[in-house]
Amino acid sequence: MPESPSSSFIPKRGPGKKPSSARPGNFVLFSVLSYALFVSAPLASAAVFIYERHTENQFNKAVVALDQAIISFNEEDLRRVTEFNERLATSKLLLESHASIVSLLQTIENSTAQTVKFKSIDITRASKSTLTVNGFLTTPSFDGALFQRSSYGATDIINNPLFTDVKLMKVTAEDPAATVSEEKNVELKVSFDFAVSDVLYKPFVGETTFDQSINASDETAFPTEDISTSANETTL
Amino acid sequence: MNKFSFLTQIGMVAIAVTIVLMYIQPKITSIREIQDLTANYEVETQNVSQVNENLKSKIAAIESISPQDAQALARFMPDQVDDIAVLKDLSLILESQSVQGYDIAYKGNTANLQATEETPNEYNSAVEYFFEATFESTYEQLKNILTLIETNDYMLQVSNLKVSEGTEDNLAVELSLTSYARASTTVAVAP
Repeated sequence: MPESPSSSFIPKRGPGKKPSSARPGNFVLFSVLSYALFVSAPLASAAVFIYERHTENQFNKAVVALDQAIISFNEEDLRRVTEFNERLATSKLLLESHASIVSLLQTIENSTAQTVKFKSIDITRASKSTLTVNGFLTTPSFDGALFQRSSYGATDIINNPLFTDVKLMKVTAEDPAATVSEEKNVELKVSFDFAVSDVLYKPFVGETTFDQSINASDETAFPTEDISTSANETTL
Repeated sequence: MNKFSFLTQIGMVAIAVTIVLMYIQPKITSIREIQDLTANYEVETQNVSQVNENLKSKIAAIESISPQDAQALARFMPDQVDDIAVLKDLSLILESQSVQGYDIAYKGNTANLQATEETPNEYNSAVEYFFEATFESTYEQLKNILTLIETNDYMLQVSNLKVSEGTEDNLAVELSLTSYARASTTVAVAP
Protein backbone atom coordinates (compact mmCIF):
# COMPACT_ATOMS: atom_id res chain seq x y z
CA MET A 1 0.00 0.00 0.00
CA PRO A 2 1.35 3.37 -1.04
CA GLU A 3 -0.33 5.30 1.84
CA SER A 4 1.95 6.17 4.66
CA PRO A 5 0.39 5.51 8.05
CA SER A 6 1.73 8.77 9.34
CA SER A 7 -0.16 10.81 6.82
CA SER A 8 -3.60 9.92 8.21
CA PHE A 9 -5.44 12.69 10.15
CA ILE A 10 -6.92 10.08 12.41
CA PRO A 11 -4.92 9.90 15.59
CA LYS A 12 -3.30 6.63 16.11
CA ARG A 13 -3.71 4.68 19.21
CA GLY A 14 -0.62 3.10 20.53
CA PRO A 15 -0.59 -0.47 21.43
CA GLY A 16 -2.09 -1.10 24.92
CA LYS A 17 -3.25 2.50 25.21
CA LYS A 18 -6.97 2.76 26.14
CA PRO A 19 -9.13 5.91 26.27
CA SER A 20 -9.18 7.61 29.76
CA SER A 21 -12.43 7.16 31.75
CA ALA A 22 -11.47 9.39 34.83
CA ARG A 23 -13.23 12.55 33.89
CA PRO A 24 -16.66 11.05 33.27
CA GLY A 25 -16.34 9.12 36.60
CA ASN A 26 -15.54 12.28 38.57
CA PHE A 27 -18.37 14.01 36.89
CA VAL A 28 -20.78 11.29 37.96
CA LEU A 29 -19.51 11.46 41.54
CA PHE A 30 -19.86 15.21 41.54
CA SER A 31 -23.35 14.84 40.13
CA VAL A 32 -24.35 12.47 42.88
CA LEU A 33 -22.91 14.72 45.54
CA SER A 34 -24.52 17.82 44.18
CA TYR A 35 -27.91 16.13 43.95
CA ALA A 36 -27.50 14.73 47.44
CA LEU A 37 -26.60 18.14 48.84
CA PHE A 38 -29.40 19.80 46.98
CA VAL A 39 -31.93 17.38 48.39
CA SER A 40 -30.51 17.04 51.91
CA ALA A 41 -30.13 20.78 52.58
CA PRO A 42 -33.87 21.50 52.47
CA LEU A 43 -34.55 18.29 54.38
CA ALA A 44 -32.04 19.32 57.04
CA SER A 45 -33.62 22.75 57.13
CA ALA A 46 -37.00 21.19 57.74
CA ALA A 47 -35.56 18.97 60.45
CA VAL A 48 -33.85 21.93 62.10
CA PHE A 49 -37.06 23.91 61.92
CA ILE A 50 -39.01 21.11 63.58
CA TYR A 51 -36.34 20.55 66.22
CA GLU A 52 -36.23 24.26 66.95
CA ARG A 53 -39.98 24.21 67.56
CA HIS A 54 -39.56 21.20 69.80
CA THR A 55 -36.78 22.96 71.75
CA GLU A 56 -38.87 26.09 72.10
CA ASN A 57 -41.73 23.99 73.45
CA GLN A 58 -39.40 22.45 76.00
CA PHE A 59 -38.18 25.89 76.96
CA ASN A 60 -41.73 27.15 77.36
CA LYS A 61 -42.54 24.15 79.54
CA ALA A 62 -39.47 24.86 81.67
CA VAL A 63 -40.55 28.48 82.05
CA VAL A 64 -44.06 27.43 83.05
CA ALA A 65 -42.65 24.88 85.53
CA LEU A 66 -40.42 27.53 87.10
CA ASP A 67 -43.31 29.96 87.29
CA GLN A 68 -45.46 27.35 88.98
CA ALA A 69 -42.67 26.50 91.42
CA ILE A 70 -42.24 30.20 92.23
CA ILE A 71 -45.98 30.66 92.64
CA SER A 72 -46.19 27.68 94.97
CA PHE A 73 -43.50 29.23 97.19
CA ASN A 74 -45.28 30.59 100.24
CA GLU A 75 -43.68 33.65 101.79
CA GLU A 76 -45.88 33.36 104.84
CA ASP A 77 -44.54 29.85 105.46
CA LEU A 78 -40.97 31.09 105.12
CA ARG A 79 -41.66 33.94 107.56
CA ARG A 80 -43.18 31.47 109.99
CA VAL A 81 -40.24 29.08 109.75
CA THR A 82 -37.70 31.90 110.05
CA GLU A 83 -39.48 33.35 113.05
CA PHE A 84 -39.70 29.96 114.75
CA ASN A 85 -36.05 29.25 114.00
CA GLU A 86 -34.94 32.60 115.43
CA ARG A 87 -37.02 32.02 118.53
CA LEU A 88 -35.69 28.51 119.01
CA ALA A 89 -32.05 29.36 118.29
CA THR A 90 -32.04 32.33 120.64
CA SER A 91 -33.78 30.32 123.35
CA LYS A 92 -31.19 27.59 122.95
CA LEU A 93 -28.36 30.11 123.29
CA LEU A 94 -29.98 31.57 126.38
CA LEU A 95 -30.50 28.19 128.01
CA GLU A 96 -26.95 27.14 127.20
CA SER A 97 -25.67 30.10 129.17
CA HIS A 98 -28.32 30.26 131.86
CA ALA A 99 -26.30 30.30 135.05
CA SER A 100 -27.85 29.26 138.31
CA ILE A 101 -26.95 31.85 140.91
CA VAL A 102 -28.29 29.50 143.56
CA SER A 103 -25.78 26.86 142.47
CA LEU A 104 -23.06 29.48 142.51
CA LEU A 105 -23.97 30.55 146.05
CA GLN A 106 -24.07 26.91 147.09
CA THR A 107 -20.58 26.38 145.68
CA ILE A 108 -19.29 29.41 147.55
CA GLU A 109 -20.95 28.16 150.73
CA ASN A 110 -19.34 24.76 150.34
CA SER A 111 -15.91 26.27 149.77
CA THR A 112 -15.98 28.88 152.50
CA ALA A 113 -14.63 28.12 155.96
CA GLN A 114 -17.00 28.47 158.85
CA THR A 115 -14.81 31.08 160.49
CA VAL A 116 -14.96 33.29 157.42
CA LYS A 117 -17.78 35.70 156.88
CA PHE A 118 -18.82 37.60 153.78
CA LYS A 119 -19.62 41.19 154.68
CA SER A 120 -20.66 41.85 151.11
CA ILE A 121 -20.64 40.07 147.81
CA ASP A 122 -21.04 41.30 144.25
CA ILE A 123 -21.78 38.78 141.53
CA THR A 124 -21.64 40.12 137.99
CA ARG A 125 -22.24 38.44 134.69
CA ALA A 126 -19.12 39.60 132.87
CA SER A 127 -19.93 37.79 129.64
CA LYS A 128 -22.03 34.99 128.26
CA SER A 129 -19.54 32.50 129.65
CA THR A 130 -18.15 34.11 132.80
CA LEU A 131 -19.42 35.27 136.15
CA THR A 132 -17.16 37.34 138.34
CA VAL A 133 -17.48 37.44 142.11
CA ASN A 134 -16.08 40.17 144.32
CA GLY A 135 -16.42 39.78 148.05
CA PHE A 136 -15.40 41.49 151.23
CA LEU A 137 -14.46 38.95 153.87
CA THR A 138 -13.71 39.08 157.56
CA THR A 139 -12.17 36.39 159.68
CA PRO A 140 -10.91 36.43 163.24
CA SER A 141 -7.38 35.31 162.38
CA PHE A 142 -4.81 35.11 159.64
CA ASP A 143 -5.16 31.35 159.84
CA GLY A 144 -8.70 31.72 158.59
CA ALA A 145 -7.52 33.86 155.68
CA LEU A 146 -4.78 31.37 154.80
CA PHE A 147 -7.18 28.47 155.01
CA GLN A 148 -9.71 30.31 152.87
CA ARG A 149 -7.11 31.06 150.23
CA SER A 150 -6.13 27.40 150.01
CA SER A 151 -9.76 26.32 150.00
CA TYR A 152 -10.71 28.53 147.05
CA GLY A 153 -7.49 27.55 145.28
CA ALA A 154 -8.37 23.89 145.68
CA THR A 155 -11.91 24.26 144.36
CA ASP A 156 -11.87 23.42 140.67
CA ILE A 157 -14.75 25.57 139.52
CA ILE A 158 -13.53 28.68 141.34
CA ASN A 159 -11.15 30.28 138.87
CA ASN A 160 -8.41 32.81 139.49
CA PRO A 161 -9.06 33.48 143.19
CA LEU A 162 -7.30 36.68 144.16
CA PHE A 163 -7.02 37.98 147.71
CA THR A 164 -6.19 41.66 148.14
CA ASP A 165 -6.30 44.48 150.69
CA VAL A 166 -5.63 42.20 153.63
CA LYS A 167 -5.86 44.24 156.83
CA LEU A 168 -5.93 43.53 160.50
CA MET A 169 -8.60 45.83 161.86
CA LYS A 170 -9.79 46.55 165.32
CA VAL A 171 -13.32 45.38 165.85
CA THR A 172 -15.59 48.32 166.46
CA ALA A 173 -18.29 48.25 169.06
CA GLU A 174 -20.96 48.64 166.38
CA ASP A 175 -19.87 45.46 164.68
CA PRO A 176 -22.64 43.01 165.43
CA ALA A 177 -20.36 40.13 164.57
CA ALA A 178 -17.88 40.98 167.24
CA THR A 179 -17.56 38.75 170.22
CA VAL A 180 -16.25 39.60 173.63
CA SER A 181 -13.02 37.73 173.17
CA GLU A 182 -12.22 39.15 169.74
CA GLU A 183 -10.50 42.44 169.51
CA LYS A 184 -9.30 42.38 165.94
CA ASN A 185 -10.51 40.98 162.68
CA VAL A 186 -8.67 40.24 159.48
CA GLU A 187 -10.42 41.90 156.59
CA LEU A 188 -9.68 41.12 152.97
CA LYS A 189 -11.12 41.40 149.53
CA VAL A 190 -11.50 38.40 147.30
CA SER A 191 -12.33 38.10 143.64
CA PHE A 192 -12.71 35.04 141.49
CA ASP A 193 -14.49 33.83 138.37
CA PHE A 194 -16.95 31.11 137.59
CA ALA A 195 -17.38 29.58 134.19
CA VAL A 196 -21.09 29.65 133.43
CA SER A 197 -20.83 26.06 132.24
CA ASP A 198 -19.87 25.04 135.78
CA VAL A 199 -22.99 26.52 137.33
CA LEU A 200 -25.47 25.97 134.54
CA TYR A 201 -29.12 25.99 135.38
CA LYS A 202 -30.45 22.46 135.06
CA PRO A 203 -34.17 22.77 134.41
CA PHE A 204 -35.04 19.13 134.94
CA VAL A 205 -33.59 19.12 138.42
CA GLY A 206 -36.61 21.25 139.16
CA GLU A 207 -39.06 18.44 138.48
CA THR A 208 -39.50 18.42 142.21
CA THR A 209 -41.77 21.11 143.52
CA PHE A 210 -40.42 24.36 144.79
CA ASP A 211 -41.18 23.41 148.40
CA GLN A 212 -39.12 20.26 147.99
CA SER A 213 -36.19 22.23 146.61
CA ILE A 214 -36.32 24.50 149.64
CA ASN A 215 -36.25 21.48 151.91
CA ALA A 216 -33.33 20.05 149.97
CA SER A 217 -31.32 23.22 150.46
CA ASP A 218 -32.08 23.11 154.15
CA GLU A 219 -30.29 19.82 154.37
CA THR A 220 -26.96 21.21 153.22
CA ALA A 221 -24.07 20.80 155.57
CA PHE A 222 -23.44 24.50 155.76
CA PRO A 223 -25.59 26.97 157.61
CA THR A 224 -27.41 29.51 155.53
CA GLU A 225 -28.29 32.10 158.09
CA ASP A 226 -28.21 35.74 157.26
CA ILE A 227 -25.16 37.89 157.36
CA SER A 228 -25.45 39.29 160.83
CA THR A 229 -26.40 36.26 162.86
CA SER A 230 -23.07 34.78 163.70
CA ALA A 231 -19.48 35.63 163.07
CA ASN A 232 -18.44 32.05 163.66
CA GLU A 233 -20.54 30.63 160.87
CA THR A 234 -20.23 30.79 157.13
CA THR A 235 -22.83 33.35 156.36
CA LEU A 236 -23.88 35.77 153.70
CA MET B 1 -20.33 15.95 29.42
CA ASN B 2 -22.98 18.53 29.15
CA LYS B 3 -21.71 21.99 30.08
CA PHE B 4 -25.21 23.10 31.02
CA SER B 5 -25.66 20.14 33.32
CA PHE B 6 -22.34 20.87 35.06
CA LEU B 7 -23.31 24.46 35.72
CA THR B 8 -26.65 23.29 37.06
CA GLN B 9 -24.92 21.01 39.49
CA ILE B 10 -22.62 23.80 40.61
CA GLY B 11 -25.72 25.89 41.21
CA MET B 12 -27.35 23.12 43.23
CA VAL B 13 -24.27 22.83 45.41
CA ALA B 14 -24.19 26.60 45.87
CA ILE B 15 -27.86 26.65 46.90
CA ALA B 16 -27.28 23.81 49.36
CA VAL B 17 -24.28 25.54 50.89
CA THR B 18 -26.22 28.78 51.12
CA ILE B 19 -29.05 27.03 52.92
CA VAL B 20 -26.61 25.49 55.37
CA LEU B 21 -24.79 28.73 56.04
CA MET B 22 -27.75 31.09 56.04
CA TYR B 23 -30.39 28.99 57.78
CA ILE B 24 -29.23 25.75 59.33
CA GLN B 25 -26.14 27.02 61.10
CA PRO B 26 -27.85 30.05 62.73
CA LYS B 27 -30.74 27.86 63.73
CA ILE B 28 -28.41 25.35 65.36
CA THR B 29 -26.75 28.17 67.31
CA SER B 30 -30.16 29.42 68.37
CA ILE B 31 -31.23 25.91 69.41
CA ARG B 32 -28.11 25.57 71.55
CA GLU B 33 -28.87 28.83 73.31
CA ILE B 34 -32.44 27.76 73.96
CA GLN B 35 -31.24 24.41 75.27
CA ASP B 36 -28.81 26.15 77.62
CA LEU B 37 -31.58 28.41 78.85
CA THR B 38 -33.88 25.44 79.29
CA ALA B 39 -31.24 23.63 81.31
CA ASN B 40 -30.80 26.71 83.52
CA TYR B 41 -34.54 27.02 84.02
CA GLU B 42 -34.77 23.34 84.91
CA VAL B 43 -31.99 23.72 87.49
CA GLU B 44 -33.70 26.75 88.98
CA THR B 45 -37.01 24.94 88.99
CA GLN B 46 -35.38 22.08 90.88
CA ASN B 47 -33.87 24.53 93.35
CA VAL B 48 -37.17 26.29 93.96
CA SER B 49 -38.96 22.96 94.25
CA GLN B 50 -36.34 21.79 96.75
CA VAL B 51 -36.85 24.95 98.80
CA ASN B 52 -40.60 24.44 98.68
CA GLU B 53 -40.21 20.84 99.83
CA ASN B 54 -37.88 21.87 102.66
CA LEU B 55 -40.30 24.58 103.66
CA LYS B 56 -43.16 22.11 103.72
CA SER B 57 -41.17 19.69 105.88
CA LYS B 58 -40.22 22.50 108.28
CA ILE B 59 -43.81 23.63 108.52
CA ALA B 60 -44.82 20.03 109.18
CA ALA B 61 -42.20 19.85 111.94
CA ILE B 62 -43.46 23.08 113.48
CA GLU B 63 -47.03 21.87 113.32
CA SER B 64 -46.05 18.61 114.98
CA ILE B 65 -45.09 20.55 118.12
CA SER B 66 -47.77 20.46 120.74
CA PRO B 67 -49.64 23.73 121.32
CA GLN B 68 -48.43 23.75 124.92
CA ASP B 69 -44.78 23.54 123.87
CA ALA B 70 -45.25 26.16 121.17
CA GLN B 71 -46.90 28.42 123.70
CA ALA B 72 -44.11 27.81 126.19
CA LEU B 73 -41.52 28.72 123.56
CA ALA B 74 -43.41 31.88 122.65
CA ARG B 75 -43.58 32.76 126.32
CA PHE B 76 -39.90 32.03 126.86
CA MET B 77 -38.84 34.10 123.84
CA PRO B 78 -41.62 36.60 123.15
CA ASP B 79 -41.72 39.16 120.38
CA GLN B 80 -41.93 41.85 122.97
CA VAL B 81 -41.42 41.94 126.71
CA ASP B 82 -44.24 43.52 128.62
CA ASP B 83 -42.39 45.45 131.29
CA ILE B 84 -45.47 45.86 133.49
CA ALA B 85 -46.15 42.11 133.42
CA VAL B 86 -42.53 41.39 134.36
CA LEU B 87 -42.67 43.85 137.24
CA LYS B 88 -45.86 42.21 138.41
CA ASP B 89 -44.21 38.78 138.27
CA LEU B 90 -41.21 40.09 140.20
CA SER B 91 -43.54 41.56 142.75
CA LEU B 92 -45.33 38.22 143.13
CA ILE B 93 -42.00 36.39 143.52
CA LEU B 94 -40.83 38.78 146.23
CA GLU B 95 -44.14 38.70 148.04
CA SER B 96 -44.24 34.92 147.89
CA GLN B 97 -41.17 35.03 150.12
CA SER B 98 -42.74 37.59 152.42
CA VAL B 99 -40.35 40.30 151.35
CA GLN B 100 -41.79 43.71 152.11
CA GLY B 101 -40.65 47.20 151.26
CA TYR B 102 -39.01 46.34 148.00
CA ASP B 103 -38.35 48.57 145.03
CA ILE B 104 -38.58 47.19 141.52
CA ALA B 105 -38.11 49.13 138.33
CA TYR B 106 -37.86 48.74 134.58
CA LYS B 107 -34.63 50.21 133.26
CA GLY B 108 -35.16 50.25 129.52
CA ASN B 109 -34.15 48.02 126.64
CA THR B 110 -31.69 47.77 123.80
CA ALA B 111 -34.16 47.96 120.94
CA ASN B 112 -33.36 51.53 119.99
CA LEU B 113 -29.67 50.94 120.57
CA GLN B 114 -29.67 48.08 118.08
CA ALA B 115 -31.60 50.03 115.53
CA THR B 116 -29.17 52.91 115.56
CA GLU B 117 -25.78 51.51 116.46
CA GLU B 118 -25.95 47.92 115.24
CA THR B 119 -24.41 46.42 118.33
CA PRO B 120 -25.58 42.83 118.36
CA ASN B 121 -25.41 41.13 121.71
CA GLU B 122 -24.41 37.57 122.38
CA TYR B 123 -27.87 36.17 121.81
CA ASN B 124 -28.64 36.56 118.11
CA SER B 125 -29.30 40.25 118.58
CA ALA B 126 -32.23 39.57 120.88
CA VAL B 127 -33.54 42.71 122.51
CA GLU B 128 -32.57 42.94 126.15
CA TYR B 129 -34.93 44.41 128.75
CA PHE B 130 -33.40 45.49 132.03
CA PHE B 131 -35.02 45.36 135.44
CA GLU B 132 -33.81 46.12 138.92
CA ALA B 133 -35.02 45.03 142.31
CA THR B 134 -33.88 46.34 145.67
CA PHE B 135 -35.04 44.70 148.85
CA GLU B 136 -34.02 43.32 152.20
CA SER B 137 -34.33 39.67 153.01
CA THR B 138 -32.69 36.80 154.82
CA TYR B 139 -30.20 34.66 152.98
CA GLU B 140 -32.71 31.85 152.80
CA GLN B 141 -35.34 34.13 151.32
CA LEU B 142 -32.79 35.41 148.80
CA LYS B 143 -32.00 31.88 147.65
CA ASN B 144 -35.67 31.07 147.31
CA ILE B 145 -36.24 34.24 145.30
CA LEU B 146 -33.32 33.37 143.02
CA THR B 147 -34.69 29.85 142.61
CA LEU B 148 -38.08 31.22 141.60
CA ILE B 149 -36.44 33.61 139.14
CA GLU B 150 -34.43 30.75 137.63
CA THR B 151 -37.49 28.59 137.20
CA ASN B 152 -39.57 31.35 135.69
CA ASP B 153 -41.27 30.48 132.40
CA TYR B 154 -39.43 33.25 130.60
CA MET B 155 -35.81 34.22 130.99
CA LEU B 156 -34.91 36.53 133.84
CA GLN B 157 -31.16 36.37 133.82
CA VAL B 158 -29.30 37.72 136.83
CA SER B 159 -26.79 40.16 135.40
CA ASN B 160 -25.71 41.53 138.75
CA LEU B 161 -26.32 40.68 142.39
CA LYS B 162 -25.05 42.82 145.21
CA VAL B 163 -25.53 41.64 148.75
CA SER B 164 -24.45 43.58 151.79
CA GLU B 165 -25.42 44.02 155.38
CA GLY B 166 -28.89 45.38 155.82
CA THR B 167 -30.95 46.52 158.74
CA GLU B 168 -31.57 44.23 161.66
CA ASP B 169 -30.85 40.63 160.66
CA ASN B 170 -31.43 41.14 156.98
CA LEU B 171 -29.32 41.40 153.88
CA ALA B 172 -29.56 44.39 151.60
CA VAL B 173 -29.97 43.03 148.10
CA GLU B 174 -29.66 44.81 144.76
CA LEU B 175 -30.64 42.57 141.89
CA SER B 176 -30.23 43.44 138.21
CA LEU B 177 -32.14 41.22 135.82
CA THR B 178 -32.30 40.93 132.06
CA SER B 179 -35.16 39.57 130.04
CA TYR B 180 -35.05 38.88 126.31
CA ALA B 181 -37.31 39.23 123.31
CA ARG B 182 -36.89 38.20 119.71
CA ALA B 183 -35.31 41.07 117.82
CA SER B 184 -36.91 41.22 114.42
CA THR B 185 -40.45 42.17 115.30
CA THR B 186 -39.81 43.70 118.66
CA VAL B 187 -41.28 47.11 119.27
CA ALA B 188 -39.41 49.23 121.76
CA VAL B 189 -41.26 49.87 124.96
CA ALA B 190 -40.46 53.11 126.62
CA PRO B 191 -39.45 52.84 130.24
